[in-house]
Amino acid sequence: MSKGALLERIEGALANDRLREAVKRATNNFRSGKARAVLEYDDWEAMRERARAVRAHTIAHLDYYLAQLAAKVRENGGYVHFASTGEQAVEIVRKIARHYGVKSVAKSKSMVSEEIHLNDALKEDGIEVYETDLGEYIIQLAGETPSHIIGPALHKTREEIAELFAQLEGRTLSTDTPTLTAVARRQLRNVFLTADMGITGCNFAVAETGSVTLVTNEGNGRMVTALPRIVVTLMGMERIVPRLEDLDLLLTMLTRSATGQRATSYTTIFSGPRRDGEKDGPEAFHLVIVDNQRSTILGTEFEEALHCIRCGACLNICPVYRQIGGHAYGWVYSGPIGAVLTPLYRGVEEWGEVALASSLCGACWEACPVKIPLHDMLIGIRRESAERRRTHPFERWIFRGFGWMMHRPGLYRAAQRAGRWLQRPFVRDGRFRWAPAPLSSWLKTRTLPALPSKGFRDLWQSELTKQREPRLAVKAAFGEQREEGRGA
Amino acid sequence: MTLKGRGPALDEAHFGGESQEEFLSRIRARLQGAGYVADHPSFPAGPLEDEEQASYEQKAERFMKTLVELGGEAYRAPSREEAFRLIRDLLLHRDVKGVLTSGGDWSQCRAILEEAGIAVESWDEVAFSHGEADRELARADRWGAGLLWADYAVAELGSIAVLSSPRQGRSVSLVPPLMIALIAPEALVERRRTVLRHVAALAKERGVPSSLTLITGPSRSADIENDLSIGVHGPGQVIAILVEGS
Repeated sequence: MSKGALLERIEGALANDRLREAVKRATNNFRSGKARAVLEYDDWEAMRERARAVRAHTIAHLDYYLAQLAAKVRENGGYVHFASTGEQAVEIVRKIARHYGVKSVAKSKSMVSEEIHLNDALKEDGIEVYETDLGEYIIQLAGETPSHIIGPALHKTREEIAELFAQLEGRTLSTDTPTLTAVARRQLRNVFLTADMGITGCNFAVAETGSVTLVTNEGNGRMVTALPRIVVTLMGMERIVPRLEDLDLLLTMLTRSATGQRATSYTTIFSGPRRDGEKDGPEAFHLVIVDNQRSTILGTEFEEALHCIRCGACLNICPVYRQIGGHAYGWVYSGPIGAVLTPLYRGVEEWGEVALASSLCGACWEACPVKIPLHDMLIGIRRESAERRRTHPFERWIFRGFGWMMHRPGLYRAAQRAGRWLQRPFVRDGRFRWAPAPLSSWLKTRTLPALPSKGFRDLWQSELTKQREPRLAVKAAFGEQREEGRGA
Repeated sequence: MTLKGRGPALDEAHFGGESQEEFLSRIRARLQGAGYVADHPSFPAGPLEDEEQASYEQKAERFMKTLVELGGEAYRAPSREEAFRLIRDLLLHRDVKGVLTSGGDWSQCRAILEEAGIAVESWDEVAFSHGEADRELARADRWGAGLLWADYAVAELGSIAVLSSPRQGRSVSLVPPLMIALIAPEALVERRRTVLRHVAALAKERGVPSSLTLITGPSRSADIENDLSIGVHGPGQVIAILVEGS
């Protein structure tokens, strides 16, 4: 992917007013839900810290807990497969489908399956694949990818949805929500009752009991694990908790941060195939544990990205996501966590640029229920990207020059003086009104203050001579400003 | 590795992928490189303050309030018989012609419902098998409601918890458009954590149940322009009855 492609996608998103309106509406809803939810707890910060500790402990002992999980799944009568790459994961699922003679698949939401393009591969084998989460179903019909991790179709209008459903039903439909919901219910009910195989993602696996936890509001996760003969779960290798009771805190953090709900309508914790004498539930269960570049993050400064519980809170709060929506990020994960995961999973060389889609304000870190320092990671990825010379030669030249000058205080002062003089034609009321390229594109969306007549050094010097305790005076003057800046 | 499971055992290696040992040793190497000690971890102890403290009355009030806020209905019945009569009235009011029951003893209820002209099918009797969708769909349509005894109810969330077993089918609380759960006093707990601890203890004793489902209000979706819609896949109506004094 080139930077041009990123910019092109961003410009396209910025020009699409309807998309921006839809993204704003949805993220505002999610955010206000979360804000209300957090108020119900006196100790939300302590809960965040504890959730972080649970995730850190789990990742630090990931090999142990995965081995325990695999043993328990087998004890429960299920099968476990390990895939180091996306290709291996796809191949395993294809072979499972072939083994059981599967003709149709009902899928509940799985981000891993989006990572590895599983649907396309199954379709090549002549298998019909149906997404059953309403949002995923809509974008599948539209041939698009998710634009938000928990609201995959938030960019689609009801008119567009009615159009897609009308084609399906061969009749015109009104655009009210109950009508459209009824169509989806009828169409997908048939899918649930006929599909040979269910494919699910995994919100959390439980090492202690060999269970897979799915949270859904619609109930499709339950349908997919209750009705088809075969169930396959695709699981990113980091999505695991040690004990059943650890789910309590992490489910709270997940649903509270995602939509504000105390709990989703359904929490399904299933453990292998149906037992003797049971009449529903799958006859066979396969768990596919997927690495797909995750292990390369272990032990690096980016390891905490594996703590992510996929709530989407960082998307909803991000000033950049809120303007450009999910598709501009170019891959399945969007928002701040996407800008970190995409380069890590797919290569900084090619994808490092998505880390530029951030203002580094740190709101994502504050919103994250497991306290992932996403803003630090975004800087880290920018640094790696720069080290690999993925930046523009002009930018490198400018910064080399800047660095050279910063080592020479006399020259720096002279440059400042020259700057104050040179800026005059461009400045009015203390800020730049226009400027030649490349500054002109910066000014399109941002304010650039003019160099002040007295700089920090001048102020510092005059304070030093005026005050007996210069440090305190300067702290008083600048401390206040910093507090203001933080609140912005 | 060849395994024993249902039907003829399958060889996992037949499906390709990497061996467990290779996969885990790659992770182990990265973790050791980062200075983590790879041994049996002891998990940090959880907070102690939030064990069950509420009285039955407090739990009952909280459960009912929370479920109603979520769009469900909640009632208290002073006896089983009263609960069954209440079910009959609720079903007649909704014009439900047939129900499916699961978990617990429904014989007395059955008599009351059948007398009112409502057909009752027990999960023990049905042969719910996958594959013939038309037949199953027709059958599912006959079930206007699923009736079950909850294994747990969680006051803090307004959740109804169901453990799968030969007598407790997953479909009963899922396929019909209306679900009615009866809750015995001992099944009502304050916190979700208590349910998870109970099930973990149960799992150690005699193996984990094939599924534990927490149902928290009706099925909902906001995938169409963020507009709330009810009953997209699961039941659109959820009714809980606290059966007391039995």
